[in-house]
Amino acid sequence: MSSLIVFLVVFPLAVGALLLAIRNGKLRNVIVVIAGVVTAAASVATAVTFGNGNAIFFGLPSGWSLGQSLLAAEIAIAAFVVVISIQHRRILAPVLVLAQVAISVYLELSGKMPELDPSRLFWFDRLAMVMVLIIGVVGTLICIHSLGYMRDYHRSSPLIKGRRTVFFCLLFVFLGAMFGLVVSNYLPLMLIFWEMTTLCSFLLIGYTRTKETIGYAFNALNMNMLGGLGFSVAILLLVNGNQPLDLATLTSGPATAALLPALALLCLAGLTKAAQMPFSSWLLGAMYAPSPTSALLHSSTMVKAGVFLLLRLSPAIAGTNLGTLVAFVGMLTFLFVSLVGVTEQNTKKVLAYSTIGSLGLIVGCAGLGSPELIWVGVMIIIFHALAKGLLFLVVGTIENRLYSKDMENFDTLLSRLPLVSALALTGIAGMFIAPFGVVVAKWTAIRAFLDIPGWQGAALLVIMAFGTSLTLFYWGKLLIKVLSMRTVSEYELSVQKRITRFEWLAEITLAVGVIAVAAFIGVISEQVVGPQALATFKGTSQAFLHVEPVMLTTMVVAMLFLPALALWASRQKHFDMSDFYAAGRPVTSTGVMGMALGGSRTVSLRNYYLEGVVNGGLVFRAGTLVCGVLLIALLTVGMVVR
Amino acid sequence: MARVLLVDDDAQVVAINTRALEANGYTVTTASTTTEAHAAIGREIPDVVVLEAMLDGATAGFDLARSLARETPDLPLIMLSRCDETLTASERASQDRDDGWMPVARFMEKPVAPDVLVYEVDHLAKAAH
Repeated sequence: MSSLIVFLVVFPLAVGALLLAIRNGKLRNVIVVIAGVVTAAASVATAVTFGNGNAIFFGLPSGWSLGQSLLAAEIAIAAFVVVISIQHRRILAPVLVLAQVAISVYLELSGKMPELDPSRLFWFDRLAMVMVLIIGVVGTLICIHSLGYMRDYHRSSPLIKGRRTVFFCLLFVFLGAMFGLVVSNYLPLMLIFWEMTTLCSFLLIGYTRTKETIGYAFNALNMNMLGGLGFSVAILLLVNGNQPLDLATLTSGPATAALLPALALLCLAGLTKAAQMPFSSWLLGAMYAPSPTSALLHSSTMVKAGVFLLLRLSPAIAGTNLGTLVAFVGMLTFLFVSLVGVTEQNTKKVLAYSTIGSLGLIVGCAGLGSPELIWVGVMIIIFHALAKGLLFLVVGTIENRLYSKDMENFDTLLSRLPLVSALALTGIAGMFIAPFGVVVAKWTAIRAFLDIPGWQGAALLVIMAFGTSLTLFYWGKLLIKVLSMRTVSEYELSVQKRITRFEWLAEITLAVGVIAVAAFIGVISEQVVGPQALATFKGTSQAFLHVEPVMLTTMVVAMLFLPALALWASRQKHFDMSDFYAAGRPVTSTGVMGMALGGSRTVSLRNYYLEGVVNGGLVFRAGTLVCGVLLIALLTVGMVVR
Repeated sequence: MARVLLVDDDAQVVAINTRALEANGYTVTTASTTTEAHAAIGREIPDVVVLEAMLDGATAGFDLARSLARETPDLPLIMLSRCDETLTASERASQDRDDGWMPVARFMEKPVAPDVLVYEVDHLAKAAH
């Protein structure tokens, strides 16, 4: 196991370094595909080796030692951030990163660091296994997808200077860092991987190097570095309080009052990484990065690191004021961003709001903490990684073919890009239609909220009901656009043929994955997520989800029926097209309406964005304010009152 | 009021795009050949040029884009095209470059929805000012 984990971290880093030197496109394609397959195979091998056993702890293979490498890595990261910030005349990021380095140097020189137990550097359990599989399989597919996406991206925007050597290097370095993050048990080790993912995100958001994207990149860097500083200060507090830096030990049960300040700061780090309010704006800015970046970092994996840490902390913070405050930050974020999502027309931003909302639900579950809620959190992680990863890739493909991310321009997609529409339908269904996992998880969460006594349970139920209704609204709107049809010419249909095989491979595999995990939800629940939830809270046997064979068959048929029906419909040549009426005047099928006083106007069918009813910007700011107040409470009351 | 020059020999495309741009407040001039395009620019330099790659019965739009980029480097160009029907596989492969294969801000294969074109023109016209 130890060798496999080291391989998972080191191999992508080595591939990243190699890709930096490869300028030939065809050679890059070959290396990315082979390295991707090896990485995915290694992640599956790690899961198979682990089996279904209890949590295990281990260190580096014999002959390896950390030495001063953590401090060296931190100084290297800081030096890079300082140099790049000076180049762009930014002040906050270097201040935050230098403060982190100062803490590390102080701890190193003071001799206070507790003795490191080399056999407990890594912690592998079912949650780590889920994350390793997501990073290895979904992450790899997204890297392969990027080969096709980036080609068309640069073809359609020739003035953007291509830096694909750096782009693919960063994708693989990021995979290595994520693998390291999710298996780390020693907090200073986890912090290094944590900061590496922050840096990859920063560089990928600023890929195009325009003034706009550099601004968004620094916004993301500042917020994530703030979380990173919280992480560092937490380590400092733990060391000063003679507490262990072993995550599993810290979270083995309810926290004592002495641990609360450090845990609160670790929660801050988790909330920033998971882009919860008041830190959500960085994820929205990150949507200006190329779409595979959004799929990999800002949907399937990196933002999951935030909720991963909070799920790890859950047994310690559950039942405390800190846990309750964390939960309400997450749940209110879910409610606010779901409402803002309804007003948004940019499809990538809708996906971003939905991502922040889904992460908010997981944060809510982690903060409240119970076997049932941990089950919900892990289930959402799995289904969201697949469905949302797929949706970001599909939107990227559509963007490269239709040159727009605007939902209104996705009209009649089923006629124009039939297979892409079927894939989009699978992703959308995965997010909000039963029997796919997110809906099942939400239903279980509602059941768990019913068991929470007093006003808290009632408030959570109301938030869940309203928030989910709003998500239904925006998914429904997108679905209508995707499934509408019209007659198209052969030439228009040929547009779909230009989608690269890399994109098809990644998207079709992910769509099959969305359906497969839903079909095997019973097995996943009984073998992986259920035992993990019980182990986290040392609970007794509990059936989270029982799936009858008849129900399973019905589910599989239902799931295959949707995309199959869409593809069948797209092949129909004849429609019952009829003119419609607007303001009492006939409108032709080309959308032209004769006006009452002469002349003509082109009319169009638009979705409803609650204009004049909801001010999206205002709601976002209100959410930021409310969650900001909760965050202040979290960092004051949550720290001192158990 | 920003001015757009549409260079395309497909009258239907020109009509649809002219209508969409004018509805959004642009003043539109049209040309159907590279000679007409040069003449129109000689009379008045527009804020944005939207051009087809397939002009004068061949791929003269590419040359037009190159010459405009040379002569008026600050003039933003958008290329709308059906050239993929004509280009060979090796010609298409030569477009896969990191240093920009054509000096245009946007290259879009037709059909491009008029709303999308208006969005792109808006973006470039604002950036130019």
